[in-house]
Amino acid sequence: MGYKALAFIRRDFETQVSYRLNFFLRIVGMLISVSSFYFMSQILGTAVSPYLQRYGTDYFHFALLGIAFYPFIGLSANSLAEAIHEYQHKGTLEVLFLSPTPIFASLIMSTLWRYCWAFAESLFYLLVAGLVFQAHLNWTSIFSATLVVLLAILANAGFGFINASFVLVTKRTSPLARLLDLVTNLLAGVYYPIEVLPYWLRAFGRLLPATYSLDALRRTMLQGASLIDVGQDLLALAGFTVVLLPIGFFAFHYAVRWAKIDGSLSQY
Amino acid sequence: MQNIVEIFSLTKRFSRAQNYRALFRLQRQEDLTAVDSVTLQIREGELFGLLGPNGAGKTTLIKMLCTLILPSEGRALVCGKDVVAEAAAVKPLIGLVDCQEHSFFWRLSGRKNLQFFAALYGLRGAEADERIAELLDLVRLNDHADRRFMGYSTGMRQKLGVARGLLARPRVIFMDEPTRSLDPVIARNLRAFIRETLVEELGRTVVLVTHRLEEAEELCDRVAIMNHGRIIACGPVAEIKKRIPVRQKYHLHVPHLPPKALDGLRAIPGVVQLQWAAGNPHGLDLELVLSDEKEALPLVIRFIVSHGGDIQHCQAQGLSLEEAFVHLVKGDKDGL
Repeated sequence: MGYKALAFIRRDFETQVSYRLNFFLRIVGMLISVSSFYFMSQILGTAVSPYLQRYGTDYFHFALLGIAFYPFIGLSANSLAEAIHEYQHKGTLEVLFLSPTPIFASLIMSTLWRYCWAFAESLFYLLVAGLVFQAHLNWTSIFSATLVVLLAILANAGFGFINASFVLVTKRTSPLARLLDLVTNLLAGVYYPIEVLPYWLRAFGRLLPATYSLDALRRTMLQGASLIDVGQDLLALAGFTVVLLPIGFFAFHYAVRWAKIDGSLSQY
Repeated sequence: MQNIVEIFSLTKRFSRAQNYRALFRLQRQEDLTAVDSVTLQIREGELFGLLGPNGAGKTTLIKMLCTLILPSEGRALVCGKDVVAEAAAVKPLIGLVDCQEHSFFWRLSGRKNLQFFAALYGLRGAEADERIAELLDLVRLNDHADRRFMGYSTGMRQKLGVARGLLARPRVIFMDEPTRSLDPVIARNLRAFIRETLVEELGRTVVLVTHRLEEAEELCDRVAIMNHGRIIACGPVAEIKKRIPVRQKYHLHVPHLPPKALDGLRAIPGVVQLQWAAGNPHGLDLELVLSDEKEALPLVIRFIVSHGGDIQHCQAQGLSLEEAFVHLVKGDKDGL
């Protein structure tokens, strides 16, 4: 299976670098994004805001980890659906279904390049922040942070399969994906701590896996918290995985069956 | 020769899209039967043609055999494996070449596209490279293999589709209108490739879906004609033609026959159709379709001679597959 995964990554890498300007602009975009948060944080100063006491840091460091790691969470919920949508438009979905590689594996491998890119993006954000803006990160916690990211991906994967099922059946972007993205940005603490939200909104935020993922990531990367310290967050993520992943698998299995009954695999 | 594809009462019904009015009245619209109780056997090493007008159900039938659509009823076996229960086992045994020339990654070269699909089919490293080189050579795309797919002509894209369909050395190759949108020269080359290379040289079984009747007549060992989801005729082309009630077509050049005699000619029993044109020198060119030549032809000749006509040329023309096809489809429509 390893060489198959490599074939998917190579295919997407070669496709992406063939759009040279787009490739270049994405890198420039990241640079601008991290700079914007740095300059915004200058307004607030370097003092620790009461809202950020939990992380013992200033706004720049808080936002930096949000923008550096949120792509993984977003990918987990959207990348499968995006891959299917792209195949439907290119007319290659049937070819994928026709090959002896199980479709489930093919679709998951179709998202690998996106994860590689997100990893490079995160690293780029963190390195630029460290080297250019003197951000202080706890690099010794990178192993714990990686584990948190992996668990965050799994916790959101259920949403990913549900969104993919929606695209397979309706040939349209899932409204759930859009809603989830908006709600996560609003309530999960990507750009600001959830403590600034009214109590009742914060309760809604607690229903999102991203809230726990970002909290655990910030505590490990900013405070050097151990996996035991963020155990509650990890437990919540495991809970989301146990509940959402089977629902996602079930939905996806039936969406594939429905598309085969409907004969609409090649349609979009 | 043993059967490599066996189809037993295979049926596919699609639910029609509900319109809003029907939805509010909670009316269930009738299903559309795309394939209706098809039973068919295809032998190993055979070039089998599937013909039919648009919407006859040919593509749906092929897609069911390729495990891409689930049947509503019936059963189909490819190389002895059930296309529903053993779909995973069927996939390595089949190849599909369709007319969707866009089903590739446009920004990658032809070779890189094949490398990707080879990996999907479990071919890796030197084995994959060797197979790809062999196939590029076979479809004569060697010189263009490293060009981006988006720069390929329609013919080259179709050839790459054929190469992809052959990657895993499938035992059965389904080809859905492979010559559609190809110019006549490329189409002829592809037809020669299918017959001479795929079937005769490599011994593959090819199921060819086509609209082009002359293509089926030229290539196929046997054909099945589909209409409204059903097989209305199946067998060698010559046998199918024989099943059509004898309707012989004759071309005659007849000087000195007065045009007013044509009405009498048309009234002769057994004359199904009469067309005429003023021919040279000083005569008429007649095209007659007779339902029963044994009885009608002597009457026609006698009539022409008795009206002063002088038959200089008389040529019988056999029934083409196209005419047989039209007859069968029309007969099916009329409920015959």
